[in-house]
Amino acid sequence: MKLVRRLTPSLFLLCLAALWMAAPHARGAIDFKSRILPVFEKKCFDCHGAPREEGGEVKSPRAGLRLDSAKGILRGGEGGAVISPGSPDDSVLFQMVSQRSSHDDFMPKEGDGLGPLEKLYLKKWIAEGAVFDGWIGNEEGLGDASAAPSGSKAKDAGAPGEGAQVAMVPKKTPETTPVPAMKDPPRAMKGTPATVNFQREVLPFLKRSCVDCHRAPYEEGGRVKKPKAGLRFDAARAIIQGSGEGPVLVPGDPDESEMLARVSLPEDDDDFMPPDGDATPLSAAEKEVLKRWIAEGADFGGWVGNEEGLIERLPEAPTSSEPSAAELLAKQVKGASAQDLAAVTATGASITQVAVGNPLLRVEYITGESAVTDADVAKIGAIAGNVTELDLSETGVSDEGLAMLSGFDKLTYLDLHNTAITDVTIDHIQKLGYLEYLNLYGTSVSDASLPKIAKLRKLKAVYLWKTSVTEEGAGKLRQALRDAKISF
Amino acid sequence: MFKKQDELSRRTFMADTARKCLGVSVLPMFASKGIAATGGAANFAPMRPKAAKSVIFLNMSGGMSHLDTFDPKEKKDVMGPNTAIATNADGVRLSQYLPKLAGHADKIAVINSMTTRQGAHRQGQYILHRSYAPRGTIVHPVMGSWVMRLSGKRNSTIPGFVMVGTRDGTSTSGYLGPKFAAVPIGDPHSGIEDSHLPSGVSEDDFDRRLKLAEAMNTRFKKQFDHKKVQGYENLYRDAIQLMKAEDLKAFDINEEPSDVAAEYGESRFGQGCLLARRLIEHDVRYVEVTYGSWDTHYDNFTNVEEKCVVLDEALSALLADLDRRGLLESTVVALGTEFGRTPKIVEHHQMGRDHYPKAFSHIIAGGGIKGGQTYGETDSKGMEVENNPVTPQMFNATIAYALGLPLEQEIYSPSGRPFTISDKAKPVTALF
Repeated sequence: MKLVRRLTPSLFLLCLAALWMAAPHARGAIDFKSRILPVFEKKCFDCHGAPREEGGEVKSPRAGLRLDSAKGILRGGEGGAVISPGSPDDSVLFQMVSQRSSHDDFMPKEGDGLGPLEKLYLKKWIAEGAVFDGWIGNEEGLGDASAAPSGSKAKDAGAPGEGAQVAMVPKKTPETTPVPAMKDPPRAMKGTPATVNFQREVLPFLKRSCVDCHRAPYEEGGRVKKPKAGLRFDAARAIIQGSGEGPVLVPGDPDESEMLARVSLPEDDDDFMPPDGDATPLSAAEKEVLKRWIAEGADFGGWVGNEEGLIERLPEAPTSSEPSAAELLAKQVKGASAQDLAAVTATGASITQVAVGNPLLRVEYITGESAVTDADVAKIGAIAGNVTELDLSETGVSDEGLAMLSGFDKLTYLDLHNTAITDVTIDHIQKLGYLEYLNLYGTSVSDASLPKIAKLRKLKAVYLWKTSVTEEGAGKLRQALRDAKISF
Repeated sequence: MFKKQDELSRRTFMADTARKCLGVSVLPMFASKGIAATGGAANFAPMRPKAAKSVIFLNMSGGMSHLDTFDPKEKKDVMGPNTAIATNADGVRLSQYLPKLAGHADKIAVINSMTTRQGAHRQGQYILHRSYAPRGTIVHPVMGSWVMRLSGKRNSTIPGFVMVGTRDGTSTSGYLGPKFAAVPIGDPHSGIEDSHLPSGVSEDDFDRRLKLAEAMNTRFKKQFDHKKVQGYENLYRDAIQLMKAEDLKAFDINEEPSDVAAEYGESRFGQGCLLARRLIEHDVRYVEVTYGSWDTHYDNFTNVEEKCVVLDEALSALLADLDRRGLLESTVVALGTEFGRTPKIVEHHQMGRDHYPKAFSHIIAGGGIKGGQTYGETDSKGMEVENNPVTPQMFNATIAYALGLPLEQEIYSPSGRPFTISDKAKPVTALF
């Protein structure tokens, strides 16, 4: 009986996995390797990995807990088991990462906690029985499972030591669709015209199933009703803004969009939306439409919705009846690959999105600039198409290394102040037609470059303090670029 | 009753001693190394593109007279010996005490419709910085701590929030905890105190000592596995990182060329502004520089004129210096005070002015703010706000908006109460 009970979830999971393969994305099981492991790697391994030497000392895993192998995860730590397969709420691991960050037991101790989506995946994964799908991990230094601290909670919590055996049964089954972190480029970005019409196809079911609870505050029976979770689906900007915990929509990436994840959960899940009986759930077809709409970049097609109560919009600048460069450019790019981003970050660069929900990036060196070389900067070339702001000021770059700048066709902001560059570099940037901000102070750029700079008609600010540019040259540039600020 | 007071002062004494002897209030700031791996900046994405990255907040503490600085009037009876002058921007007029700044008015937006109900210094300063009125049961965090909480550090090796010349003893980060507190700097010339290894101790020796301390602490930590104990451990580690940081030279204004340093003036406030610029250049997120003694109950005009000599020189230099370096686009420069001063001149106090919270002036520049404009007006005597009133909360919301911070994001205090960065106030978007 006990065996059956233990086997049932994994049998169920196998079925689920099969379903997943047949109809990918219907309502899939959580794939450990692509969904959970990366989170553990990023947020937990530092303290809960294999013992390692650091500075001549052996660092053992905190609280005796190792999360870098299936065995370790199931064995738990000094305090006993940390997961109770099938029951996230009884799993210490889930409790610790999901409580308030001010709580003493909050994990991780350092760095940012898990995001809402990561917590959701973790919860679902445990609920589904914590299947590792053949993953073993690093067993180095782990005795056999029976060596788990005796008298620990391990035994009462469904004997996870043995559970490991069960959970690892699917090991021999064919790879069950590991969902790669970076999926195929979304349709719209491959050049196919967007097909989902938001107002006609998406808005109707949002209104039917979501807006009742998620809308602008309103009065009912003398009380002001606020949108649940601070999330509103009654205005385009509100949807982009997301809930009190962060964005729910990542244009171009359905897998990272919580609004899709929530409606795609099993209906009896606590986090399923819309909650029990409150409204009609989305049909399979509607979920598919929602997914496609997100994949295509979440274009609202001019729909604004109810702006009441939202933070006021910036008044349109009188000259820009057309969309800003950043908005235009954002439509042309897809997200950079995680690999390329990691390669750039490895050079010490800091990469940030220019705005929430915008795939364009800002790349800069914030500390240790002087150690940055041409070779480091060359790595940024891999994400050239995504970079709209580039700050290489105070770095060791040279004209030679910056020849690659001609490929940064989305650049609006370029800061090269206090570098060794000369007029040669200006040759490389004279075709960057979107450039709005160009900072060259403290370089040996001279009057010879000014005619080339004058061709960059979108420039709003040029900084030439402490360069070889003469007063006369700066005057001419001012005449050529009347709307720009020329700082000399 | 007396006993209670005794206890309080004893506690204050302990806290003060800890701060002075151990640098405790300095150190907790250097937290969160988790983001160091990404090269520095936290992965903060602003709510809109082209958002500003840093803030220099100039705190005119004591209550700056609006009529004698940014809201001069024609009427002689409220202006005393002072008069208004034109500036390089059509939309801005300044007091004659600010002649240099008149040459940079095209960079600033003046708000002449500030208004509050807090007429006492402590309460006024509290709401100016924290957007909430003081309560007995809770300490609200200041703007700098909010900014750190919502967007994190940019440069991971040095503090993200620095206060220069402040004397307020209240915890800056309040319920957000010491991780988000300001690093206080008393004298801009001395930088961060005790941030260097004592002479005669090599780095190796130092590391060995640390290991020894670590070994001795292990048992204690096991026995008292408490967040604060852990906090202090982190504090030491981060402090050590700081001692070795290359970026620490950001704090050393002695490295500045003498001609640039001279532009800011010799004053403490001027040098504080210079330090602020250096820190911003090294990607510190929030710097506050305090310039006190604006409480001109007595002899208002002599005192304000004197104070303005320093302010005029320092602020002009700061704006010009940020501008030529291309930093003004990404840096918000805000100047605020807790309240204004009475238009009515108190003659028997040698022409003094008293507290006046009903109407006063702030300025804001950079970070996407349109320069050369005046927002809001008072009547011809500077008594009542005529249009576009701006509260300290709205002013803070405007700074937060410039930084692209999520204004509606609720943060819960340990007691479970929700708070937002500027108490749900709306930003003044007309300024951008």
